[in-house]
Amino acid sequence: MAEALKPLNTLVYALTAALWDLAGEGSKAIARQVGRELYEKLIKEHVDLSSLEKALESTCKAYVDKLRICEDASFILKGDLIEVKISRPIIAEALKMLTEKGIPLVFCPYANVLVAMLEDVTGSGYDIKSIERISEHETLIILEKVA
Amino acid sequence: MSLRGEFEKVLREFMEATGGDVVGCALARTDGLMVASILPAGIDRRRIAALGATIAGVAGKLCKDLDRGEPLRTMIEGSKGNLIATPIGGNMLLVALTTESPNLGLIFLEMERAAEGVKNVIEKRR
Repeated sequence: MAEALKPLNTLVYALTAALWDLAGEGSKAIARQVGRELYEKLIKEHVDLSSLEKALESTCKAYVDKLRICEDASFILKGDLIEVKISRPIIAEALKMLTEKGIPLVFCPYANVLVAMLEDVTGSGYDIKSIERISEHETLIILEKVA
Repeated sequence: MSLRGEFEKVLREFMEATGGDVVGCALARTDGLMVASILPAGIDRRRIAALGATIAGVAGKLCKDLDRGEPLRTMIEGSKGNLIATPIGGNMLLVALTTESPNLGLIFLEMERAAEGVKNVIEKRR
């Protein structure tokens, strides 16, 4: 891990671990709200709201080009399911530490921001079905439309 | 009728059965996602789902850590009324806002009935 990213990764790890320890399942609702705040402050202005595909495309582009919080981000639409692959996220080390400790990746900002964006674009609720580190450098987020 | 419409029907029946003691209610998921609600004007739907899920989650953690079994309900008494959050299975919560001096026995009973109603709706859709 780049030394410059160590404090950020430690912060994300510590916040998630502490939230999970104290609030359990309740931390999912808090993480959802964190995602909304991040979306409003950092992402919303970059999102093309004209269609679901364009919204996802512009969000992925904002992650990579504007905010530089990952090396690549891509998505696949499968009916009500949306798969988003994040490559080399800058919080990779935090995700690794959380996985090793058996703490669910509920706090994942990439996923929670996507949920807030999707709710804005479609007016429907979205569930974070899974967040999984599929390799050393890639995380797969699966979201599902639920209401 | 849409799924949300069916859930709202269950919520409406629940409120009616409490004789006005429940002034608003919501069906939310344990991750804070709103499913259906009947709420008084001025109350943010998204917020009540998030707050209900948070207090229910904390209650679940407390019960687990202090070996108190499964949480049956969480109630916060306010000077203007109560907030009650009840896990009803399937990652769902029923959240109710009550008047200042409600008949809690009746409300708890009707919450159980409403929970059954929600389960029936889900079963019927499978």
